[in-house]
Amino acid sequence: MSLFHLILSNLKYYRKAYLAILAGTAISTAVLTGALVVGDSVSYSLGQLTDIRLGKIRFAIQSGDRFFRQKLANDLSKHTKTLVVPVLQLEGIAVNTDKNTQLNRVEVLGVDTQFLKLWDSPTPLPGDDEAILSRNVAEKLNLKPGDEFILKIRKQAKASANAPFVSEKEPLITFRLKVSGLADDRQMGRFSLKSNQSAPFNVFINLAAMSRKVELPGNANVLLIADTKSKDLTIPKLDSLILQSWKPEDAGIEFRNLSGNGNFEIRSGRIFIDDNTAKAIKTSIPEAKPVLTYLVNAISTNGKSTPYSFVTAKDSVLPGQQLSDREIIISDWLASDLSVKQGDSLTLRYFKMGSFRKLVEDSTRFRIKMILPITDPEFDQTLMPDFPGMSDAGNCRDWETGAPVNLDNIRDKDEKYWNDFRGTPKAFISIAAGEQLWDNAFGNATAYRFNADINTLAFYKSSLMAHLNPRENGLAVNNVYAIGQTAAANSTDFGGLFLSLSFFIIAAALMLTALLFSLHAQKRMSETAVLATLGFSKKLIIRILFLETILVVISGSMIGTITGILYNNLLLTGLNTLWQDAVNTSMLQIHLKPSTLFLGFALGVITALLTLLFVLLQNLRKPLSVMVKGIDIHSPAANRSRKKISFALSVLFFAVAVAIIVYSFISSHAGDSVPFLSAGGLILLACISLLNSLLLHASEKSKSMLPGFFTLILRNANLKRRRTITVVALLSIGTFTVIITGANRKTFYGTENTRQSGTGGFLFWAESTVPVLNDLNSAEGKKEYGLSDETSLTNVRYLQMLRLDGNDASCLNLNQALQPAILGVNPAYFDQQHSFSFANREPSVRTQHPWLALNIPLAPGIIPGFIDQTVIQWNLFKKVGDTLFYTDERGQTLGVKIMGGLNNSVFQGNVLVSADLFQKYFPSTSGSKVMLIDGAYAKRKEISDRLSYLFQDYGMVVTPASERLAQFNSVTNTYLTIFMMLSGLGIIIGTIGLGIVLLRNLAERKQEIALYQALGFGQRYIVKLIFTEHLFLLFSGIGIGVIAAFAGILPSFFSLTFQLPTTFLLLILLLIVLNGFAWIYFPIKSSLKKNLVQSLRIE
Amino acid sequence: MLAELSRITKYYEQQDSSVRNQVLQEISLQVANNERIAIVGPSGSGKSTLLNILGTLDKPSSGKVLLEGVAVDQMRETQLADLRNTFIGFVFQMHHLLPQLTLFENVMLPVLPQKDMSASKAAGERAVHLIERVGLKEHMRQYPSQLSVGECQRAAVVRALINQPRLLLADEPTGSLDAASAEKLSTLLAELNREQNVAMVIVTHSMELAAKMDKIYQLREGRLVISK
Repeated sequence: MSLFHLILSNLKYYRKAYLAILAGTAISTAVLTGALVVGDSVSYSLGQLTDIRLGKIRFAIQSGDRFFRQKLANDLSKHTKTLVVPVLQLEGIAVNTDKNTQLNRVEVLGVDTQFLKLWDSPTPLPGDDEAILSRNVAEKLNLKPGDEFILKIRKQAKASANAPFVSEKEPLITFRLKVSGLADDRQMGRFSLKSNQSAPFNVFINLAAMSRKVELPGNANVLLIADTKSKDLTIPKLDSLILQSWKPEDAGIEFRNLSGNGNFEIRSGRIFIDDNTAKAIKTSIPEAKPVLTYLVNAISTNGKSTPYSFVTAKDSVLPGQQLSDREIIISDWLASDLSVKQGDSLTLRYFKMGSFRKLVEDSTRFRIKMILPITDPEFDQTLMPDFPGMSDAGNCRDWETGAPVNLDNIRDKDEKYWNDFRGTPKAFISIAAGEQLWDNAFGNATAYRFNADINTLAFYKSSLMAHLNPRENGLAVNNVYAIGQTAAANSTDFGGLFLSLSFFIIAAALMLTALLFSLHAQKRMSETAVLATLGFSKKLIIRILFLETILVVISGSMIGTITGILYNNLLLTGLNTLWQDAVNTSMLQIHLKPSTLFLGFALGVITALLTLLFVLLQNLRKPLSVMVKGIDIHSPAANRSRKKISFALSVLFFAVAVAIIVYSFISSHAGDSVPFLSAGGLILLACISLLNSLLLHASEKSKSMLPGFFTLILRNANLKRRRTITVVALLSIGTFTVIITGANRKTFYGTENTRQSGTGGFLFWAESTVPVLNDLNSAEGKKEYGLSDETSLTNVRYLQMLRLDGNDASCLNLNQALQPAILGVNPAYFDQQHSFSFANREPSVRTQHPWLALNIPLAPGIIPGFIDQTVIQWNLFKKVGDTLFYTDERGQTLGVKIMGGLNNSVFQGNVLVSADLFQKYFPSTSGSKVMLIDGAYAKRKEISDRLSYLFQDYGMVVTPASERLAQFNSVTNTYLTIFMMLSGLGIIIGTIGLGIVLLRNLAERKQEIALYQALGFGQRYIVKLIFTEHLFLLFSGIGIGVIAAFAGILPSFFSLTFQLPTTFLLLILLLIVLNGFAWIYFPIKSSLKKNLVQSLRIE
Repeated sequence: MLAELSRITKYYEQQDSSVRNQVLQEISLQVANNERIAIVGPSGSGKSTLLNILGTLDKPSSGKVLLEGVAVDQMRETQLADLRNTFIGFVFQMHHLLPQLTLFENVMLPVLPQKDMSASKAAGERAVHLIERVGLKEHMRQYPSQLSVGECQRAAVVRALINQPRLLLADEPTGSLDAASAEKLSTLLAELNREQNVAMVIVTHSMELAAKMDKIYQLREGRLVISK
């Protein structure tokens, strides 16, 4: 006889009880392990997706609307000794005219043979009029190899469409292509530099053909760099190699020989020379002088006016003489046209460019200092910048200036001037005056001029290139692979998420295990006492029971770990199919990590053992003399003390819960759900403690002769108080969880279009592939886009937003968005309309006018921003008050301080900043690709139809704002559905607990019931007594859960947009009650059928 | 003196805290080597409480318990367990044999806490001898559920004696037996007292069993009165 033998005998004899405990442990371990493995699988799948979408790419340069030479790839490759690939990437619209299908926001990628080498199984390079489509594009457009389709790409110019006088008359270039092949995910179909698990819509075309077609021959805007074999490339190393490889064209500048006699100028493809480049020119070529040539609408005096003339601001027109700020030198041609002489005054009228190409006419008066003949070398035709649409125009009437030109004002003599002198300026002002008049975000010079010989020129060139920073010119290298892997690693923590979602089922399984073990331990109480009387120390007894338990728990956890893998497979299948709304992909793969499996196993063992050890020690606390009798007797004194402690705890929990709620309301944290859920949890504990003290109170000596029916019920419940409390706790936590989940489901009740709702009261959210450059609320804008004649659009307002592309930070992207997209909005409009509502705000943000906080810069390089609270919390892992960092257009760091968290809104995934501040840092962002549209709800269909038609060529998709919100809500709702399902399983476990307790109570009280029968109590009375006793448990659990849950969702009741889904919740509660009823009714009915009086005779 | 109770008082608190339920009052009792003592009294008089205190299963509210002159009130739990394992043997009204063990294994159960492995072999031989002695040889490998109540109770007595205790405490040992089995067990206990050199304190309602003891004490209203 050994200890091991005793343990084995015990396990064998009590196998039924231990099997039940094993099952409980297996369930909790399976759920734990399954949740952890889901986390690994999602993280691994996202990492895999990074590999799939990047192929061999490790680093990338994305210069956006700045273009560099395709040859830069070759030049850089010579230094890096690895594959460097140029790509021209533009957004486009793909149309299958045969099937009448259109796909907007398609990524059009101009690629060459080098690009194909980045993939393990490359496809052949498409020919000039061919395209390779990613499979999803082919599916969406219903295209197959050999079919033809139309591709529309936004016409690209090196100059920003926002820059003064840049024309954007025909935004799209259209061409017909033949589908030469389809690219699978692992070929290049999923190529994207964005960390997102959603498949991009890619169209690959021949780089040379594409760059020709978009009038950017030899240019690219993406450079992809593969790793070297030694993997020794780093960003600093690449930065330095770019410095060695790049040429002026890559920085968008050009050295021009003006007259062949040593006169040179530096020009920018972007027309205006930006401040960084200007600074570098001044440093490296000190003698270079700025020139700013501008188109003025009119030069007039004394009722005479010369239309549309170029005026140049520069110093040193007259050697040794400086022009003052209000002095002007004019040509004799102009003097003659205006009949003016030296000393007269004239007025320049000119446009200044505002946001959305809003032109504001301004004027300044000048005094004529000198009149020079037009033949003077100063009147140089080359002073006119290369404005697209103007420089190559045959006559003035053909000008495409990007600003309105009144053709009636153009006279024959103006046409003749154009023919004779082209854009030769008619006047000069000082550079200081020019900078003052025509200051714009793109730069204050159209050229820098200097003299140099050939050797000096070479020196200047190299000096300038050394002083220019590639990063400030769009050539910023990013380790896209590392960023992708980091984003995947920091993706939504599905392990944690599913652990939280499975919390109740784990808790329920553990509580049920504890209940079963407690029942088992109570059954063996006298055996334990006998061992004690035989000289077994408490330590030895605990050791025996512990070893028995640990064997069961280890076996249970091993089974649970294996079952956990199956549970994980089930969850992943659910996520890839039924619950795809939550993850936006169907590519989640199972990934098993031994360490995670062991962790799940260990956690399963530890949680079960701790629970069971607690129960064991509770049971062994009783004196041996009590245990040997096999009955649980509590001393009245101990009961009194327990009652007092329970009551005190109840008051304490309740007081803390109330304090949390009050504090949250006072401190404007009412939008934060965590304190309220905590308060709900505390109220649940308070109610359970109160019930405990009530049960103890009922068991005290009664003053009346006979206890009442309810007192009898309480006393019976108190007999097995721990069981009672466990079952009530199980049911209450279940009810609490289900109500919280149900109440938080995002559903529309007709409140979705109120101003404070997530739509801001706007009818539509519109996104276009091609930006809308003009202000659609202005008469010019309406005219430009053909909205003026549309009666259905008369009272429609457009809230156009500027967008800086970034990673999608909405719940639709599982990867962490390190730099979410920025939207420049008009805060004043939202303020006037009181649109949207806030979950959280910085104290400095005014309650009445929160939106106006966006207008005030916080420090140099720091601007305020708002983001959806859910994005702040769950994707960015930040809080209000934190700052996100970006690199602005000039290569400088821009901080966006999160000043507030919006309640669930259509902006999810974007950082909102003021449009004015946005333009300051990203002046080249031309037009809006995103807008909110306000209009009459009754006319919504008409508005949507007309806008979709009118902006068809812009690839505009007009979505009801409520539909966009619903798309985000569907993610939340899917999670809540999963939570509800798992909680539902937990409630089933809870009611199984109720059933087990009932059966055990009936077994233990067989003689009591028999006695009732023997004493002449009717069957109905006995059924009523026992039924009511257990109904009391059921309703106590549900009642406590309901009370606590309502505290948990308290802030929602104060939200205008919240409506409790009463029917849904009542239905859920009804299901819980019916389930509980079944678990009470059937065991009672079956037990009381037997002749229990027999058990009295056995006694 | 083998065992001694000195001025033992035991009370339980009533629901109304101002009243105490006095079970034992100033009880003193001495048990000599090999002495056989019966304690009789009406139900609820505190007989079992007295026995539990003597067996270190319960603690007195006041007074001292001395075993071989050593006070047990200061002993640690492990020391008390050791004492119950080697010095005291217990027999209860119900046999409390573990249903998962055979008769032999049940008898050998008290050997398990002992660290001396050689004692285990000797105990095994002793167990066989004692089982034969009480007439259960043929039931040695059977489970309690296969035995009669009387046989189980005899096995419980053997289990109590396996570690050769000096003091056997029995709480209503014949209480659950029919008359014939009770008589058989009474005789067995008397014989074992002599054979095993073990003192006995037996709480019983049975005057037949009490009559076989050297001394009979009556417990009335918490006080112990010698009646034989």
